[in-house]
Amino acid sequence: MIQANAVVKEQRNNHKNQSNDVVKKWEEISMKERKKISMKKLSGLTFRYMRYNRKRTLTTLVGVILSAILIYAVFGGGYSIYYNQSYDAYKNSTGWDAEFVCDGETAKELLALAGTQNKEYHVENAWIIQYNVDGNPVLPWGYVSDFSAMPEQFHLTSGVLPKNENELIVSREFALAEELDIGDEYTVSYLLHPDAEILTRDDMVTETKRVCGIFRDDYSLDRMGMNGEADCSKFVLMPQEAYTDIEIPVYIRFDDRNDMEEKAENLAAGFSIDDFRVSELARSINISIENNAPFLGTILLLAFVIECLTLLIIRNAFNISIHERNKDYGILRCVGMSRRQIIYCILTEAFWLALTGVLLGILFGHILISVVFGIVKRLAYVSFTLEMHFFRQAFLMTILFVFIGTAYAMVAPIEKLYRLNPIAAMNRRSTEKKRNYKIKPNRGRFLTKKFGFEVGYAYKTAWRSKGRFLVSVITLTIGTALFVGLNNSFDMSTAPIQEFVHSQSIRNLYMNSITYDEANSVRQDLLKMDAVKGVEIYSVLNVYGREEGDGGKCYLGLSRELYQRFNNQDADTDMVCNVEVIPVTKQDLSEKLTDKIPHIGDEYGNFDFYVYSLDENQGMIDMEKYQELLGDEEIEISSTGYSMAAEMNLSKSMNQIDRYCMANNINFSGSGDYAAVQDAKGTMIMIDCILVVFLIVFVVNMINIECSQLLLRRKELDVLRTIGMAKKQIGKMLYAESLLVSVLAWLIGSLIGCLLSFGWYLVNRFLLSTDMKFFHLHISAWSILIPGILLTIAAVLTVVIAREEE
Amino acid sequence: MEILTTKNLTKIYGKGDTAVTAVDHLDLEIRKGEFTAIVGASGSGKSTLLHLLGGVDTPTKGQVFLEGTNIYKLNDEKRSIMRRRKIGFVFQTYNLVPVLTVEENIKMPVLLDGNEVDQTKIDHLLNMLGLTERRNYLPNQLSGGQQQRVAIGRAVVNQPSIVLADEPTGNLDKKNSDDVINLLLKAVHETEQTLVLITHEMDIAAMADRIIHLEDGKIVNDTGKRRGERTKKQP
Repeated sequence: MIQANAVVKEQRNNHKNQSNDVVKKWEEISMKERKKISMKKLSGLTFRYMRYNRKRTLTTLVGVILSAILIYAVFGGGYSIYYNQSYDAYKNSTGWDAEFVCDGETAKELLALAGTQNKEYHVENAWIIQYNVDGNPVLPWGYVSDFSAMPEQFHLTSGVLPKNENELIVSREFALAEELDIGDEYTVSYLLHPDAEILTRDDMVTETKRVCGIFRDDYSLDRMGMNGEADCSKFVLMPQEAYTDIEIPVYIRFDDRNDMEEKAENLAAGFSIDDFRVSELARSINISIENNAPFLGTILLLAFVIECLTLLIIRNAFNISIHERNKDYGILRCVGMSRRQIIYCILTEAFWLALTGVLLGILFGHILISVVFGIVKRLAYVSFTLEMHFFRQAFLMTILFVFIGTAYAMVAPIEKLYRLNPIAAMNRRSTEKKRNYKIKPNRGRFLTKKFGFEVGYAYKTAWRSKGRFLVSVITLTIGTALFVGLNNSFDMSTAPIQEFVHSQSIRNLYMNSITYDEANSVRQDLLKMDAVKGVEIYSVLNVYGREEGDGGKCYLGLSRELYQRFNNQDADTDMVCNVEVIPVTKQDLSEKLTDKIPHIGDEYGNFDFYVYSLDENQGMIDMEKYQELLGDEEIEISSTGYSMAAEMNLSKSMNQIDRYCMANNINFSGSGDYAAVQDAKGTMIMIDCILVVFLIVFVVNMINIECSQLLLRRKELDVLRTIGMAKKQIGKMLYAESLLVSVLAWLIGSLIGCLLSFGWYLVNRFLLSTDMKFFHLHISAWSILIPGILLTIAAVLTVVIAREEE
Repeated sequence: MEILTTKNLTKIYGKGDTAVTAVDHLDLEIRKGEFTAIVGASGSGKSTLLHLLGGVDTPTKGQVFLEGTNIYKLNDEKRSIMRRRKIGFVFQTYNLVPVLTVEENIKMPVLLDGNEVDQTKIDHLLNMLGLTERRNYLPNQLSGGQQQRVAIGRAVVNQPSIVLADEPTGNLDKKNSDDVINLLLKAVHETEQTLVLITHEMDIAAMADRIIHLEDGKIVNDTGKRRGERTKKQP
């Protein structure tokens, strides 16, 4: 017995020693082998799988590309808009990088550097803009050494920029006042004396020049930074050589805006100039977005939201892809593949998908944003620059976000694979923890009775797979809630813009001493133009009461609605004293509302008020006729001419109208700051683009999630088919399940979305102190209906796609 | 000399009332070069035992020693290396990697090890298995018998210490079944490997040096246990 024990003990020791030796040997081998293992071979297997599961790989890739496009759109678009804003501020004010004040001779030398690609001083362009702010008796004038340096600053309504010293351009108002047109000659007087001070009246030169262009005073001069310094409406710009012996500011634009201080110092030193400065605006272009925390924060937040949304697509596609390969991984584990090797395969796949996706996404994103910017420019004629630029930071941030997102999407599949039981996987058994489902026997009985067995079964399935069902519902709910919330919040936030655009679309056209027929002829001409929606002729009557200070204006012939938009205030027919404006329309009279409107000779309160009556044929009463009616009344009439209120189609260019008005001596005004309107419209279009992109992600996400959930149940569906369930019945069941998810997600999501919108309203009202004049709580029915329709379509599409794959 | 030993090997599925003991305190020794057939009714624990022997499942209790090493003491990396070098698996459902060709499937354990493939050896193996013509086919382009032959090739390519076959003829007709068994025996004979085979077919079991009868996870009969050297059976 003792002997036997000793043998067993010896055997055990031997085993132990052998075991230790083997382990040691394996450890050694393992270390050596690990180095030897050719990862190339495993990568080959990965690529084989990617090719084999083409559809799935493509779905994942599309998810990654979509994610990259959107993230790049946010970063690339954001950086570009930020850069464009800075550049616009720079370009629209001065357009120069450095200013050198020097004598005429040095100025000439500096000007000579322009366009020579001088590497020593890095000068791209140099020019002089000099203008006289003292307009009497010398005309306010300016001279520009090189118009081509900043062509965008001279917004010509007609003609071309001066090409030689014998040409000049004039402001539109100046052209109207002086009755100048393109090709006319005009004599200007200006200073040209070597010893003269520039702004004195002495030593004037008089020259006759040809008008070659007419520029928009309100636009161009403002952009040149000259408004407020001179009577810009009477401005002449002409080319001129530099003066000698007087101090002249020469403006320099560098070939790039890096190290501008150093370049300016070098240039100043090279030409012995003491008085120089670098433009603050030029410097601001180089200030990186990282210094603007709110802007960067907004971009990061937006990118994060998009990342979360698109992550679901990648995660789902990858999950299914891995799930479909579970059996193969089980086999590979059995033949000796370690977990590390399997995970390496997965990570290789993820890496290549992320890399391909991010590169393609950045490329497509760049193109997409360029196209969107193009559309916005085309539709809204925005005055600000909308150009897509390539930024290294945007590129790197997109890569970072996409790689982090893809890595995160890999976590769940990798975790599953780590816990993979090779035998269970080979036999396609679920390795998930088994739960005890307690399903009430009556559950779904009503639905079964009402809609058939399939619908009842679908309902039971939802209860049985509560987890999976909830994932679908929650994901789709988030999408719906975000859409409803974003849509309404955007609507509320852009209400002032919309209101502004609406109110700005009215242009007021003034014509002095014009007859009704003439006015009507102009009206007919205007109506032929694309940019004009409608024109109403009206007349303004200034009425003065008996007591000093009392009085009012009548807008005769103007519709109430147009009047309201025109004047941005309510038309008050129930007039009280000192109310300044009363629209009186034909309609008012025909509807016999005149009891509310004072008539000629009526007394109103303590104030006699007199109103024209409307002529049925012309819309306005004839002046002479009115004089007859007036008799001895002590009324002073100050206006009898006709004006027009034209409603513009702001999506069209106004140039045609501008030229027509100029040609016909028609002045126009109106609250219309058209550049601002176009910019506002541009902003709205961009917001709409964001919502459209969001919708695309939302739909793809929905289909992807629901398809993936159905594909995971392929085995169950096969079993149902085997035991005799017809294809039609399976279809009905699947439709019922998908619709159940969609309807629940829609209801809950819409509710949460409305709450989000309300939350946004409260935040603006109480925290952000937003001007509440235009900011009203607004929840549009469309914002709720659209996700509902999309969810229904997605539910149907899901089943169609899933059945096709089946 | 024992190549494979189990001590008190137990596998219980489930918990409480639903617990099922698939392998019950089983002590087993498999000698080098021995052809062992494990027989038993469905649910007797044959497959579970084989999976435990191969290190692809985890025992509830007990140890499995392969060439003196307790395989369940090894970490996953080492156990995987051991599996690809020391153990060959043949399954009833072939379990080939669908994206790899016949030749690549056979090479897989070698490639996983990071070794260079000895092409002469692969050619010889393909020739022996009668798959030379189909070396570039994908598994789904092969018949059941051919797929099983590929699985045999994959199991023996690394010349493992032991080949574990789980009803390799379960899905095949009589002719293919005979072919596969003959090839399996020929392959293990050529490389002097140990074979543990699960089968329902007694005529296949009869070819073994040793037959183990399992019932409720316990060995109820072990014929030829002490027979010593394996009888050389030429296929």
